[in-house]
Amino acid sequence: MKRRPFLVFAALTTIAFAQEATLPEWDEADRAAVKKGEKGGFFPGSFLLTDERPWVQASEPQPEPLAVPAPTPEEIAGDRQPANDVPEQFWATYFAQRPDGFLVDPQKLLKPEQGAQRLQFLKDHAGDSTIDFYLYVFDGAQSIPGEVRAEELIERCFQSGRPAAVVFYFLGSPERTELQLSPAIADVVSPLEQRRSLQSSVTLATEKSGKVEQLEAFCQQMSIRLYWVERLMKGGLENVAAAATPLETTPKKQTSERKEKLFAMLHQWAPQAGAAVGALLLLVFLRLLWKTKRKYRFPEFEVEPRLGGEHAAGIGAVISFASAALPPGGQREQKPEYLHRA
Amino acid sequence: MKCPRCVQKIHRAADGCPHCGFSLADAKALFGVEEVRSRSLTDAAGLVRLDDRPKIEKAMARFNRRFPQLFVAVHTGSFRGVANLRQFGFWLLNQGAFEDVPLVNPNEGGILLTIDAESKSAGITFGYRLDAFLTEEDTFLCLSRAHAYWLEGRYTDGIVRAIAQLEKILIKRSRQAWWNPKKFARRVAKPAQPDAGPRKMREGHWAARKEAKR
Repeated sequence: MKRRPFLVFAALTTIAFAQEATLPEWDEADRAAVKKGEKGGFFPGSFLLTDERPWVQASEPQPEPLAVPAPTPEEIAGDRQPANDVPEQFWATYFAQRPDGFLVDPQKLLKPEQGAQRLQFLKDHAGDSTIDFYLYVFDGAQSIPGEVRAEELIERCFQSGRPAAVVFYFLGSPERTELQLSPAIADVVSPLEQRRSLQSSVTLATEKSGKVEQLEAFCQQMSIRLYWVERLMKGGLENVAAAATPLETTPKKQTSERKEKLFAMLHQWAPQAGAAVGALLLLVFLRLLWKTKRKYRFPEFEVEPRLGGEHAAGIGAVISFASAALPPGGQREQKPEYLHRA
Repeated sequence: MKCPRCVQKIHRAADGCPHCGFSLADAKALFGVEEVRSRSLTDAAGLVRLDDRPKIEKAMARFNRRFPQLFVAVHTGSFRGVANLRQFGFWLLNQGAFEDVPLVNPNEGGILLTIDAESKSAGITFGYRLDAFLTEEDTFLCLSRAHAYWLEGRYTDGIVRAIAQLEKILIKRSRQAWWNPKKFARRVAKPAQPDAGPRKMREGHWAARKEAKR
């Protein structure tokens, strides 16, 4: 705080000098001497003070540009395209029906032990998660045939059954990976969240050098992301708030999600709640039974007889019910006998 | 504790009413000297229909089952006046022998509900066993519950209602007596001797206690 006036002063002074100061100008004689190297010798940045680039000799012959024809748009587009489609003989295995196993590699692009390892990983994932993870392996230079639409494949093969995440993975080109979610998941998880899941998996894969290592890293990260997707589906939004963005769902979807959450909770706690209610009812029934059957006893005290009565002299109340206009209290008979006779 | 005839308070163990001189002998003179045989449900006035009797018997059986030391009896008749209703209850509980009540249950545990068809009045009398547990207010509450039914001539419902209320009150008293029997014992304790107060004070004096310890 104490330095602030000084800093302000310094800044103002600098601005004032900057406005007043002018750039130095070369004296022509000095400039010529520097150009020739006669004055001052070599000093760093001298080429900046010259008009020409010092290392370019004017006398050096300039190479003539080669007469190469410019690439056609088709060629430019072709460079970006993979070399070839997936061979037609594998189309049926890849795209005809829902695969039997989680790893789809009819081209045997992975070695048997690598394939077995990946398959075991995918099976373990399926055991731990409610979302299956189907991995379609293609070569990095291959492309999915134009006849095949990923959305159509998902609708056709993964409409029913357990929710599934289908990944088209291109060996060696993880950035080309495509992710498709079965309708049950796609309805709940926003496209943004889907993209994020894919991007994070691809990023981790590209950090690896080998193709197989890339695939392994991709699978691991995708498995983790699918776990969060599963949590989102189960409604554990509060637990995944840090990791996942809020769902872009309509109020109708939120209502259905709430219902599902409620049903899931009911399904989870129904046996315990039923047992508790049953036990409570049993207790109530037993208590009622006990109350009905219970016998009440009184302690017996020695009472001296009164008025000559051997057994009883307890005179209670007497009430008249002759008049409907008067309350019971008004018809309580408390008068002695002689008043009645009168 | 009140006299059945003059409804004045009497002290414990009074041989006769200090106000009007009433005793069981007067009741005997009025209703009879001999012991009478009766049933716990006697409808001499014909207030209860034959079909309705099981209702009352059921309520009475339930009461007797819940309170093994007690029994409840109902007697309807014509007693020629309200004053006689009390005296009749007093006389019947002392002179009556209820045939359908087990011998193990003497009349000390009896509660008699009497209904006078002529004067349209009803009363409750009870034995010595209930002296500590039933008050006049309790019996009035039971009769109040039945009052509305009796006004409409529904005697059966009124009797059942009165017995049910009696059960409620006695269940409460039984619980209270289980927790604090001394409270009820005090109600029927023998009257204190004339010099009991000073003697108690003398015995409780700290100097006397100190001396007694030595």
